[in-house]
Amino acid sequence: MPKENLQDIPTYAYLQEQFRNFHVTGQKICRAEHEANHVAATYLCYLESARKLEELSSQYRGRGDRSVESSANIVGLKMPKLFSEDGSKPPDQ
Amino acid sequence: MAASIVHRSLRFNLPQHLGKTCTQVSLLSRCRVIHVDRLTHIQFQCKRWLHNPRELKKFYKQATISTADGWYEINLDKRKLRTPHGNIFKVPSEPLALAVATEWNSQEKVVNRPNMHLTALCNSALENPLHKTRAQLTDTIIHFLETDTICYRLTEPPELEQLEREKWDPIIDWAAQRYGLEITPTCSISPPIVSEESRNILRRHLLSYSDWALFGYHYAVDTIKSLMLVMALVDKHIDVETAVDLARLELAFQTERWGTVEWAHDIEKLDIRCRLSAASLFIHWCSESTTIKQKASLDLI
Repeated sequence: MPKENLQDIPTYAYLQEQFRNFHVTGQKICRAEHEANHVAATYLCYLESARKLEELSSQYRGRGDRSVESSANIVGLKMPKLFSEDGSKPPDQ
Repeated sequence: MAASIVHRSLRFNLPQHLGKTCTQVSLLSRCRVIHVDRLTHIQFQCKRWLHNPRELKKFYKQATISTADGWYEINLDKRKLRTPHGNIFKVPSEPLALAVATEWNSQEKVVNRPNMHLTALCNSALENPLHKTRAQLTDTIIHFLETDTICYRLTEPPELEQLEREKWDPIIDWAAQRYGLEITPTCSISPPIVSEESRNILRRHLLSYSDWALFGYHYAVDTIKSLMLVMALVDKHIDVETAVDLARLELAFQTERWGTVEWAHDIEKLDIRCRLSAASLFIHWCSESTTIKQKASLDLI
């Protein structure tokens, strides 16, 4: 459970502002409010499905496969050098 | 797992005082030639981690956004988030940046990149690794119409045929009414009948989206295997859950009769929902331009 105050999260403040802006007063037809609801529902769907997917996956995943590297090591082979995120470029580039 | 934790700290240049076997491991990482017959437990862990990019530990505390030059960037603590090619990650829209930051913030101990679809969509729109042009993307999307799920009808069993007609015809009718598309579904393996004018209408419509939105559109159509459902979704005529249910209509029909397998069916459904909702949000945030006109009004919000 998050411990920080909900008001401090910039995403929440943005959402609140959006809904205030699209809250329509005294208008007959306005697509914006329907759109805002749709976007909010879509975002909710995204967060919810991501969370449930992770829960189910971790439940059924088990220990997973060996990595390619360790599989190669079993028979005594090495992997080629790949792009690494720590910024060091492979020597052949 | 102390060895693997130390390796991650090295990788992201965190202070060297983390971990007791630091010096030993730093020698190892500089050593490019690894002799197989000297495999110790620590070396084994080192190689497993260095070449297994899937297990990325959450190396930051918070992700925040910042603006630069009209674009929005993501900061992971003090470092800027980068694309897979090493360029600065930047997006043109604030809500998109916020959503990406939220994605990164909602990771727990391990950064689960395969599930971070918004980040992945932004990366592919930024880098365009396959160098797709707008015309190519549009053509691929329109080509999907020939294999559109809701245009292929089954005749057996009759309940399924009835169900398909009930659920899928309204979408085709809506498209006809909204865009003037004439598409006749097919009951055999031959493609549905699409008039040339419909293709032109679709092409013009798709080309009206921005470059970034087109990437999202292509991703959405590819995920759900149907162009018409994505059109209805992007127009906010239906919501994501409905779109996914319609795409999986036959599967749902069968599983209702024969039962579901949780680790296959449910995971697949959640995965499609996740990807489609990410794509829908991406398209929306890359195409919208909001203008708020304040009227002099007596009501107070």
